[in-house]
Amino acid sequence: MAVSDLFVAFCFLLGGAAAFFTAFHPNILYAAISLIGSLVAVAGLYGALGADFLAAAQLIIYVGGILIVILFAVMMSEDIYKRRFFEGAKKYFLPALAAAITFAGLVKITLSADWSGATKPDFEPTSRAMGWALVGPYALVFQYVVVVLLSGLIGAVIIARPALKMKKIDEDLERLGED
Amino acid sequence: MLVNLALAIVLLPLSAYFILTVVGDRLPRQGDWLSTGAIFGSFLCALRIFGEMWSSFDPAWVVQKTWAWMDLSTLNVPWKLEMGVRLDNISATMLLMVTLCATLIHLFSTGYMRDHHGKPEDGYRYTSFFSYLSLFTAAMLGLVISDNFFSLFMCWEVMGLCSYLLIGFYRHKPSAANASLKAFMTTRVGDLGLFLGLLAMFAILKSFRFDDVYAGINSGAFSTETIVGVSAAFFIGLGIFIGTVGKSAQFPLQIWLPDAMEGPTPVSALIHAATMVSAGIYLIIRIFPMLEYGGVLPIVAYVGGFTCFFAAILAIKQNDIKKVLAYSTLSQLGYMVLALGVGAYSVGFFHLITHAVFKACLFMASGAVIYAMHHEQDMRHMGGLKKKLPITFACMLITTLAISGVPGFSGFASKDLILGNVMGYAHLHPQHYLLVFFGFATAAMTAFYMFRLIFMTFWGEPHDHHHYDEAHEVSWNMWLPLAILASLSFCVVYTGSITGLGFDKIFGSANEWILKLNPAPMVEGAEGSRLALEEAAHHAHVPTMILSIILAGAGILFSYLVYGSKKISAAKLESLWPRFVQRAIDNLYYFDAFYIKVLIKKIFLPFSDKNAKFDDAVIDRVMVDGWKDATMVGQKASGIFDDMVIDGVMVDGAGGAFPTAIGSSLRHLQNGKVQRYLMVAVVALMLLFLFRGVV
Amino acid sequence: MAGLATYLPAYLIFALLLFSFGLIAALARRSAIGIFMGVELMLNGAALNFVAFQALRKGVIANDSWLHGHIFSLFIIVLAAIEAAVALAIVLRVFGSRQTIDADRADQLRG
Repeated sequence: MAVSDLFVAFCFLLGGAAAFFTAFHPNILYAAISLIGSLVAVAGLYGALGADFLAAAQLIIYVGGILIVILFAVMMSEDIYKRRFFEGAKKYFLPALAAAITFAGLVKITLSADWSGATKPDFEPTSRAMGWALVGPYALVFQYVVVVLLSGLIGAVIIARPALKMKKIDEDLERLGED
Repeated sequence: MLVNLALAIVLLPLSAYFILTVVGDRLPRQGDWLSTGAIFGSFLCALRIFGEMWSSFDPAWVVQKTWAWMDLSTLNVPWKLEMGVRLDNISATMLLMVTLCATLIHLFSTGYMRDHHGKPEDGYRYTSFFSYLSLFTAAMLGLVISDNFFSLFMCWEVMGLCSYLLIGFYRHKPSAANASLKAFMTTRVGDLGLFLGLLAMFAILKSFRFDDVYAGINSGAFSTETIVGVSAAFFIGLGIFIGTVGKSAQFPLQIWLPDAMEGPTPVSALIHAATMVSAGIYLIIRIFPMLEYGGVLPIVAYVGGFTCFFAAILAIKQNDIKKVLAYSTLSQLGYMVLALGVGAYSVGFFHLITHAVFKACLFMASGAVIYAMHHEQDMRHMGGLKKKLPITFACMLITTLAISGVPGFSGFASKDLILGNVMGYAHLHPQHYLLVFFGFATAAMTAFYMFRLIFMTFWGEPHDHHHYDEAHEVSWNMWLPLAILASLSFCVVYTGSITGLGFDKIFGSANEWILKLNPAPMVEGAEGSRLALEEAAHHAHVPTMILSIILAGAGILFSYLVYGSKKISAAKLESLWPRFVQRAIDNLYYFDAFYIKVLIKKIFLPFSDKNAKFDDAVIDRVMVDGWKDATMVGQKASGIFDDMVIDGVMVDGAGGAFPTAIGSSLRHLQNGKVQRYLMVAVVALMLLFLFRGVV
Repeated sequence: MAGLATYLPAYLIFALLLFSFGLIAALARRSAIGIFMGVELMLNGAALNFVAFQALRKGVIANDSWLHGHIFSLFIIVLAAIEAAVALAIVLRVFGSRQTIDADRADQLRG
């Protein structure tokens, strides 16, 4: 058994357990913290698959950025120890069933395919190739994503800013809700 | 080079749209010149392309360029979507027509929409109007230059959106808001058919490109497969034709177009008369081989014939000037569909072009009348405007002569050819003589109701002196488009002959170009029937022509007697109709009533209500709460059993509970909780698994 | 367990696992942030698939020296970042206006 196999197995275990807690832990704060485990595990798998650039990006953007934002949101918006947010078992019944069926179906499809002829990942640095791809065949998509990112951020700022106009819309919504 | 020009044609209005959306209000004159200038640039490009096509007078002229848009091919399985530009005789002509009409209508709008000039903060939406117009034009032009059904469908949907936005432009009016919703929802029914047809096409062919589709038809790729029991070619053809039925407002989805007249008049001219509705016809022309191959053409012919006949009857009874024109548009679109249905697609295309020109002019002229009358649309309040609006009157008279099919005008040439082909078709297939009746009856009625409009509006005594006295000729930017379009409504422009009969040629024989457009690749073996049709149409031509002239003349004369000289009382004439016919016409043949009262209120809503009750009573109470009890007490085994049974019934879909599951999902769709939305999607996935036997 | 690191279905099933747990979280969590975390998990599962295919099924996709899979995953990460920003803004906004982020109670669009 090679070291890489052990590493991958470890990532699977860590990611699976963390994802379980993310889904089922009654306290939203612990769920958010255990999400770190899943994201780190995925980053590790990227590494095992030879995607060094992506592994770094995953760690920096996801673990370093998005997760902080999530934790920030949790702490800003909720009194996190209130009982109100501890989900009851009944709310989990249908989703768990649905997810189980989906999982079973997709696993069955996955295993029924012919996966022979797998290649081995090669461990050359990928950043050069990705750089060329981003300015070559994917240049347009790249620009598009940049525009989407920019407009998304501007939109986020506009939504979050407590401007006068937004208040008016909120009031309108309230009134509509009462009708 | 030409491909770049074609792209420029689309990108100019599109960039005008973006600029107007972002900074339009700050531009001088609120940016109307930008929109108009952009589309004028497109017009120049289209002129260049058309010139290129014209100079190499070749039915097979085509310029194509294709880009891969999405390439998910593996080494063994090709799977890619392509985008591309295709210029051939049809699209070059369409481009010229659309850009010309759009340019003139933009110019007209600068006058017509002048009252909406003002700050957006005060609720004026002059800039929005022009930005929507630009977006619409870009979508229409994109549709025309597409070389595949995929980008065509995308542009098709953008046009639907613009139509919605522009019909509801006067959004403070509830009727306009309703009309825009109605148009959007009705065309959605048609778009569903189109979408299904395209999906089936892609599933079989793995390509959307016109060339691949034509090649696939000729190689028999569509004959071996069957979909829901019919041949794939029939299914695809019918689906795509349903798209046309929605977009071009054919029977039975015609109900939205008359209501669409709630939009500003330039919009009616641009979208609901000249261009967007003819996109449906253009689509049929593109998919024509499939219709022919799948045997959909008789359906097409009867739908077109029905539409043109019934809409013409409705047009006779309307008093709103725009409604008359709306029904006449329906009727003329029916003519085109009829022509395509009998197999004469170049003739149908010819009528598309001539109709677009004169109908745009008619609509804008009616807009000028409405504008001069301070937004009075009822023809009973008009009258005697001949002296007040001389230019408008002249233009409207010319185009009315054209639509009525008077010799020497464009409508005569195209309509005469349609009637000739229908006649020839009926000779070949005597069981279809009903189509001939539809065609000729409509020809007579068209002349009647159009001259009724002219007489009621421009002749006689003014009925509303207050408005009449204030009426005056419109400014240059409103009458100039009318004049240009009216001058293009003469026969000589299209056929190079004065009478449209093929002799008295001015420019030589090359001028019958419109009938020699690039024929879509024929189905193998269809050549014979086409030649037979041409032959029969040729023989039928002269009697048809004489008959149609007589009918048009009779219609005009009758109209004069009733509404011009008032020798025959209109009220008396109306009383001659049987009661039930009158009532049916007044209620627009009960189509709206049927759709709303029967289809929606009696079928959809009760279904959904009943399911909602079941949902409350069984699912929520028994299943969800029952589960809670079960987990709390841990002893109610029977409760769990119930849950499992009900759950099994609901999920497995056995025992007739499958509709209930759909119903409860339908109700959940409306409860505003995001997680339920997601749940519906997941349940759909589960059902897919179950039905495909995966789990 | 030998050869696990190059056994493609293992990665796919792990990705499915992440996806399913994400689905549960997105469907069952009551707070908007919980739903959002579920979505992130699902996105990660999907992104992992792309990279696994890229690494272990070379020569099947045309032009795979362009690293389609990696690029796709990169875009997923970027879009997730946008999503996080917008989601945080919405959460703050909703919390500010009604003092809760219970997704079941933000249902003004109900019919």
